[in-house]
Amino acid sequence: MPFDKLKVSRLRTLPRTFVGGLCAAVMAAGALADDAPPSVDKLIERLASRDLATRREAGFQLSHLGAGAKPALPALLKALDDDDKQVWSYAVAAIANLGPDAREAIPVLLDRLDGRKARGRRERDFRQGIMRTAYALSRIGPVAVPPLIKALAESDTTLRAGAARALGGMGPAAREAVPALIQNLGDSQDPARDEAIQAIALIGPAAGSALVAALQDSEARRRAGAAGALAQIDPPFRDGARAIEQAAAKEQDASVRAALFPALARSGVVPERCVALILPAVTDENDALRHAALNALLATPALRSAAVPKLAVLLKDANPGVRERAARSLGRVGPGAVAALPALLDAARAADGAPAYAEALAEIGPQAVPPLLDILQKKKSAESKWALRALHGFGPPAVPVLAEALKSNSPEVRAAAAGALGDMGHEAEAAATPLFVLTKDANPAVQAAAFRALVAVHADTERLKPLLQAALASKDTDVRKASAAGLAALGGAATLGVDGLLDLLADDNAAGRLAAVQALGQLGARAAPAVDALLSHLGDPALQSAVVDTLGQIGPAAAPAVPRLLEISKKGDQRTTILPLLTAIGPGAKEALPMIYAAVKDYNTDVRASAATALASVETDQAKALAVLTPLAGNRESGKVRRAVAHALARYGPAAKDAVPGLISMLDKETERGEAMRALKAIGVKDVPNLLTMLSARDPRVRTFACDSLGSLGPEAKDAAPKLREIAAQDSAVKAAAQAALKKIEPGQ
Amino acid sequence: MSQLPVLHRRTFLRGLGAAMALPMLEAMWPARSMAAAAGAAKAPTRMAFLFVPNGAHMPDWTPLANGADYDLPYILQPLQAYKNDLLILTGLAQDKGRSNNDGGGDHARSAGSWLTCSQPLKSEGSQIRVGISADQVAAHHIGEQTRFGSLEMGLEAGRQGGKCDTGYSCAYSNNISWRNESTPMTREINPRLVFERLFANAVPKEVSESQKRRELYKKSILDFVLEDAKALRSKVSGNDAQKLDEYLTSVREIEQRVVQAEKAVASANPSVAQGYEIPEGIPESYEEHARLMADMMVLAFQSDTTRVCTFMLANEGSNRSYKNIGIADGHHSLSHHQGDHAKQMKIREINRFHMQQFAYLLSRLSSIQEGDGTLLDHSMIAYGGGLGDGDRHNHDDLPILLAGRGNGTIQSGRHISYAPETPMANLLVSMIQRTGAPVDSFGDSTGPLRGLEG
Repeated sequence: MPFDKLKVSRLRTLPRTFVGGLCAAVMAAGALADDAPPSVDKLIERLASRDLATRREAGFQLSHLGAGAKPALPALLKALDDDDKQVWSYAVAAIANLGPDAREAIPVLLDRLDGRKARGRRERDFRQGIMRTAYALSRIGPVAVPPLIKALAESDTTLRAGAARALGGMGPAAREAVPALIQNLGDSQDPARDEAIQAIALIGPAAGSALVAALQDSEARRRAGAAGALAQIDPPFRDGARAIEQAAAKEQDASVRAALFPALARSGVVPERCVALILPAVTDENDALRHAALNALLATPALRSAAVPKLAVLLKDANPGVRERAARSLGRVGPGAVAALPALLDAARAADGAPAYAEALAEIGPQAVPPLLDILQKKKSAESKWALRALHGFGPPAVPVLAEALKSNSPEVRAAAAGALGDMGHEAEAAATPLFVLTKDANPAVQAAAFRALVAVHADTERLKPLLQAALASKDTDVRKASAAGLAALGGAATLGVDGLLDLLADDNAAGRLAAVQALGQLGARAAPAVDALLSHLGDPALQSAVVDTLGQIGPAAAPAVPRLLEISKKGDQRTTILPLLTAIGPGAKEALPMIYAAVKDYNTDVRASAATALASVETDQAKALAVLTPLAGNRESGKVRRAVAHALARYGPAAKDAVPGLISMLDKETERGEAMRALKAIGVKDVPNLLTMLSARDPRVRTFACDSLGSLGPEAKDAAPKLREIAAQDSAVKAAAQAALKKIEPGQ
Repeated sequence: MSQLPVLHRRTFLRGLGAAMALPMLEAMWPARSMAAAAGAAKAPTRMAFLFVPNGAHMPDWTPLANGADYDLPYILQPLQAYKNDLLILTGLAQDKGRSNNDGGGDHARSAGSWLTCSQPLKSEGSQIRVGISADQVAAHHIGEQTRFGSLEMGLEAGRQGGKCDTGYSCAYSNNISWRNESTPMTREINPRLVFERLFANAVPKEVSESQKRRELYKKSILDFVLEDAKALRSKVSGNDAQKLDEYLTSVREIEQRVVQAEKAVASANPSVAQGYEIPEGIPESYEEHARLMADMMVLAFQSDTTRVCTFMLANEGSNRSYKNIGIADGHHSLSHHQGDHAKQMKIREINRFHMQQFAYLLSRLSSIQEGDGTLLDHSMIAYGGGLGDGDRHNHDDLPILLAGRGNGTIQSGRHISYAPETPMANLLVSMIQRTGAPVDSFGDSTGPLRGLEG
């Protein structure tokens, strides 16, 4: 039965207790249908059809029949070889849904897990194949356990990994496989070992004792694997708590210790004891060990609470590295580490607010803001510097506290709070009202900070612009710079003019420089005098992208920039950024032609596409450009390049007539049809055979274009008249166009 | 016996055309000892899915480290306050979103398969087929315990028929929730209609009369349930009375914002913003629209009106611009960045802006106390989309987050990196199971997703 005849809306009447989700729902829908579904025999026949849609539909139906698809098993196994991914996918799903009834499939499925028979499939399809095949084996259940255990000892890594995955999918039903899986915990190949760890964890507490025993294994890799599985068993294997604790206390190997920590955290050992065993590793120099230890300490609220006072003590350690790592760990605890705030501030002070401390304070959150503002209020310049730096790292949760700080008596605090709010961008928009108040502040530094912040938080432009314009006349240089930058950022480039923007480009404030670059772009070709100054900022990573954009907006007048751009394009691959800029510059970038010609042949699709566009713009020798572009419109290129080429060819008009066959070949593809049509219209198709081909296109717009073009040829297109008559009679979509063409081709009739 | 709850969980405040469900009050809980004995003192588990289109700038989405010891990447930084309530799940794949020999149409497939994990049938017309979605599977099982089985919301209107993406029906791009394999659940984008749906009773004539009177006399829906509210207030504890007041205040605030939006749009003529025409009753500001809808999701969960919700922050393939954050280009156009750094930076700003809306929802959910935890603790809120990178159109390494602790079943605060090609359907199986639905497979799942419980 075709799927569209399923009365699926009747699903709503199904009892709510059904088990099995979609499968059951669709089966029920089929059962409720008025029309009888096709028999399984029919589906088996259709699964072997030559017609792809028929095979897909048969596969789809079989995959929803559950045990009812049993007679189709041989056909489904055959369909595992189907070239179509959807047919394959339905077949393997149908086999999985048969469950134990698919036991005859075991040898075939095991064969599919063997990586030596992968036959060059792409990586992702190969992975999908392993995963879904293993799933089907797991659904077959216990009968598949013995052959899977055997497969665990095979030489092929993928087969071992897939077999473990299938066993894990069975859960406790695969407990018989535990010894063989434990053996594979020492597998030298990571995929096989990782799957063995997962499988044992899924088998659950039944594997607990064997895993605890494996913690004593002589091989570190197997001990670590056992610890990894113990860390994942759900529910945790509490009977092993003592053994895990002992192992964690005596283990020397870093990789095993790292694996033991999460097992210990879930073992039921009291938090204080866990912290005592794990904490030394939190400040270890071994990154992996430190990371594992910290992850374990953060695993539960109880462990986090127990760890905070111990970490606070470490902030006074003689070793600065230990102090920094303790600070970082406290930051990871987040707001729960607020009790350690005084110690953390002391340590930050001692370290001159090194980044580790500032980041930790920011992670603890808004409660860390007031003490930093206090520091600013005390005006101790050395401390103020790092307190200010630290404030800039706080996220939106600190907005209310910082907005309150805008009302402080201390200008340093007000300016710092405004700066920190500005750093949050529009996320601090809620602070706009008190920031507007500060634009009238008596202190120029506060005023300037307020202007910068208001622009950054996207405050009401209508209200802000007049204030910025007035502030351009301020006696204070900083206020003038801030207001100019603000106006530039808000599209007021014309107010400032090129000279004003060039001044701003020399601003010591990064946001001001960026605003100047972007504002120069708004001026287009009028910003040509700024090209040299812009080039001097091309080396600044924070500005490079904006400078390139602006040069593009300046267009041909940016030609002096070409040598520098070519230099940049050699350092790291920035051709997809540079090529559009060369396109904007046009013939003035002829110095770049060798690079462009090379880029047209590049392996990277994006580079080829950008180069094709650049070539059409920069190369003045039309014949040379067309000789390169025309073949690119052919079928062998990627769609992205063909679209770019079609776009480029349109500019040549009739001179690009040799590209017409290539462009016509693009009309079948929806993603390319638009550009191809535009190009064909610009070129004008004059030869009847090509136009006749287009009359058979699927898209009515293409057929209409062909009719119009044939009509414009007049009697010269008489060979097309029969086809046009056929269309005029049968093709309602382009009937009128065909009739109009016929009138021009056969004026007398 | 005094151990029985004073109030039934399904108590409503009633008035003309109104039936207002209530938040969880102490009076609805069995006395502690009895509850402990019965193991029953548990808030219901809520489930929601928030969808964002066009992929994400994954280098600024994916943390560098696994586990709890990681730095939030740029896009996720707005979630800093909820880092401990969050799982970042990377490496998940949606194989059914891929072409699988069906040619172009990745946008349509990515939305159509996101919660169905089924291959959308390539079709523009009546032959639409994908699969029942995970939210609807849950709604089938737990929907009868609440007033509505599920709630579907969005922020953009969209056609349900016609062609949207390379031979695929618009129904695929514009819906993530599917009642069955051929019927999408209609999304509501108008806050007024969601509000009325949440608080109107089932008597159409009364509802219409109530709406007229409210409009005419500038009244609130609360005015109609005032008597019931007063009577209830006198019966419950001080804590409950305060909770009730807070709840009614939040309902009122939301109602006022709905009215505000209606007035604002009515006065703006022509009502065009951000390149999109604003239908009547929909806030001009995208942000306010998103937050209003999020607030109503919170109300729906808080009052146990439904436990299942889907929310599309934009339709798949949306070309909306975000001028409020300084981005005038269309989202979809930008997503085809071809490696252009400037475009990628704009994409990440849009991603971060969407994340701020998500952070707002989390802030609301975490602000509501409910029994032994917060509403967020009792929820599972999945956020993400069906494309990895918008330019590559890849359907693996999807941007997916899971917020909330699923009623104590999820150990949040971690980044978990899964093996490539791990099915997204496995996450959905795990979520459906946590609602209490006895489902062991869904779509193309290969089992539950490991590691959510820690």
